[in-house]
Amino acid sequence: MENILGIKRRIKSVKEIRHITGAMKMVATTKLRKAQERVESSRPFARKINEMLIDISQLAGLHLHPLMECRDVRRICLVLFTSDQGLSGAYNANVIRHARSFLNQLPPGREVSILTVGRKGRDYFQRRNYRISWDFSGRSQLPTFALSAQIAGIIAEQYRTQECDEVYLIYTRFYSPHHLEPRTFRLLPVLPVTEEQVRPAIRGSWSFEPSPEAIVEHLIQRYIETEIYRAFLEADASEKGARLAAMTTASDNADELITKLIHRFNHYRQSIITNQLTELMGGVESLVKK
Amino acid sequence: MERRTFHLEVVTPQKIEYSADVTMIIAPAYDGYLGILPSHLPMVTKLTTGVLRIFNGEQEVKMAVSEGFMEVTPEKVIILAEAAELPEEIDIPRALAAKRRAEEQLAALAAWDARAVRAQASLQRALTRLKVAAHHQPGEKSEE
Repeated sequence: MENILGIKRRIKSVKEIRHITGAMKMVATTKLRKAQERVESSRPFARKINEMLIDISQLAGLHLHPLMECRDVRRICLVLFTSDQGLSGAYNANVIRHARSFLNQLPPGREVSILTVGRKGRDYFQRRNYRISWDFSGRSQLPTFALSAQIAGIIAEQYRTQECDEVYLIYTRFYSPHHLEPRTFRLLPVLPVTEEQVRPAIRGSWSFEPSPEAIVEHLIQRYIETEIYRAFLEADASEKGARLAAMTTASDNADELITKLIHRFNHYRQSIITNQLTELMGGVESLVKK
Repeated sequence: MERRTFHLEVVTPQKIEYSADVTMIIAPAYDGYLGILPSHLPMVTKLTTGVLRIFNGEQEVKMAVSEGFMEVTPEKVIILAEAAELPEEIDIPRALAAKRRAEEQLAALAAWDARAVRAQASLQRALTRLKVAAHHQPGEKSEE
């Protein structure tokens, strides 16, 4: 008898969990849709600014900007994007694992400082005694351009004052809720012309106003801000996607469990009824015999 | 053959705000308004906060843009701006509030304060938005 009550209670509790995961799934779906829209609409700007930077650096041959200068690498700054909240499956674990393997690959003797966006990454690396130089956890729900600009300002300043010699962004690239890919991107020094991106520059006399240097100066600043903003948005969309996937799995599992439990519950109930019936029959029979 | 139109794209970090073939634009360059016709010499210039006027034949569209760049090639113009808004997208009460706030700050701050520079920029943005929006809704203007 105890057992049947236990099953009943379990069914109830699993149902309640199912309610919660179901609700979280719905929330994640809407949030994901918005985040996805934001990511997709931010890509053209990033692409255009990259193109413009390539054009200008080819035309004006400017590799002398302080943020383009390659130095001997001693100190490295990582910008790590994780989420503040858990319950998003392996999302944080994957980015952190990616960051760890990146750190393990580094030649020994490199100093590493980490700028974290998101509580999970901060907690993890703090526990392992890494230097967290800045932390932007507990941010508001939406990634904003203003915050990206703030981060961009900090790391550009770090790079200029030679506090670090390379800056990497580690975030999760969003392809679809089931296809997320942690990525490392070298932000500084800025090297806009890579093998596949070489385009024939438009010939002719270009004019730069006020001056190529001033344009490059602003363009690079904007480029850094944009890249950070994009990483931010990608990470945000990935988090929502991972949560959606996790909650879908959880809800499915809960459904499965509920079906199983109900089955078992019915089984028990039936056997109890059979038991009672046989007892009753036995009682009746003994009465008749008398 | 002379080109009659060129392609204009206005892109912000949020989205592509405007993309169409146009005949002429007048853009707020850093040192004054700059008109661009088709087959313009290639150039790159800085933009400040101001009104971008887009002409397509007889039609004119205005946009409020803030801080950015313009890359001009003979057949294409790309404007990268921090923000760009069409008149119908402008939130007039918000712009008015921003204007008031900026004016209050400016009155309270010394001219060399870094915050005053920011307030000035935000005032400029608010005024530009109001200007663009006012053209869109002539009723608003007559009330003032």
